[in-house]
Amino acid sequence: MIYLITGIAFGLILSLAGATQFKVLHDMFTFRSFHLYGVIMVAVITIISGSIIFRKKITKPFRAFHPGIIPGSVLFGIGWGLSGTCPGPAIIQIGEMHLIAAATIAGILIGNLIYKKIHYKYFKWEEHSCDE
Amino acid sequence: MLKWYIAGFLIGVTALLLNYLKGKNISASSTYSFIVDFFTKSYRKEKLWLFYFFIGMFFGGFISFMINGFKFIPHTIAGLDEIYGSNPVLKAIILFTSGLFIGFGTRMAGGCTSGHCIVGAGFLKLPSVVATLVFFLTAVATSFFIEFLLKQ
Repeated sequence: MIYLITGIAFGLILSLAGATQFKVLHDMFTFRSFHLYGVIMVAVITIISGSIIFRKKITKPFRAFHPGIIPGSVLFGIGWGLSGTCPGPAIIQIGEMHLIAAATIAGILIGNLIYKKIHYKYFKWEEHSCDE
Repeated sequence: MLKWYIAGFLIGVTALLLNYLKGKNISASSTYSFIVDFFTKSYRKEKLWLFYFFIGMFFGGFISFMINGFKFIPHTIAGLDEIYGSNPVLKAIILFTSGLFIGFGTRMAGGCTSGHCIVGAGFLKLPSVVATLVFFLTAVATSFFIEFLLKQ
């Protein structure tokens, strides 16, 4: 239930902040607008402060350097720039009834599946993800 | 639109709340990995929460749709037509191709804007900060490139 509620909050806030609109993202990437830089900066500062204030109750995430980080981020950056959408906003756009985002979601799922197949066939390192 | 300092603060509070109450960290891209793993029968049950959070995001978007007065615009996303034109098939192909890059890239990098940029950077994790800089700079380069190529 808490997952559903925090998901709703996250989706609603991102949507109302314009983070699901191509235009807003594109204006960030081309340095025309400060808006999303402000959003990200304040979110990061809030988490830094919160994790200090509540440090006894906070579960620090695990992040490791692995060979996939840089090439993976380059590929994600290309898709992010082209579509102005990241994985969270893609589903939020569907909620906003921009049903064309179903194409983005289909692409993400298939891209994810292709990487999974390639990873287990060719790469020796362990997979990591941000829910750890 | 929400003011940037309010939106940023609320995003931070949501991430902290999920961590404080459940010890979990927001990671949108992991949900796609979960769905793919589910259908290829190698999923882990303890990751089911990602899916509930994902469904929540859908309803969050739907509430925003209601707040904004039920403006039903299925064939585009704000600002997309200014770059790519109004042909919905072409836009769907571009979004699908972008999706392939996003899905492949985020699974390879192990995270996206939520996991690496907001949460990872918020907990001052160096691998996440590096990932954020790389995908951000690539997106900047891509955006200038498409503008140079396509904008009328």
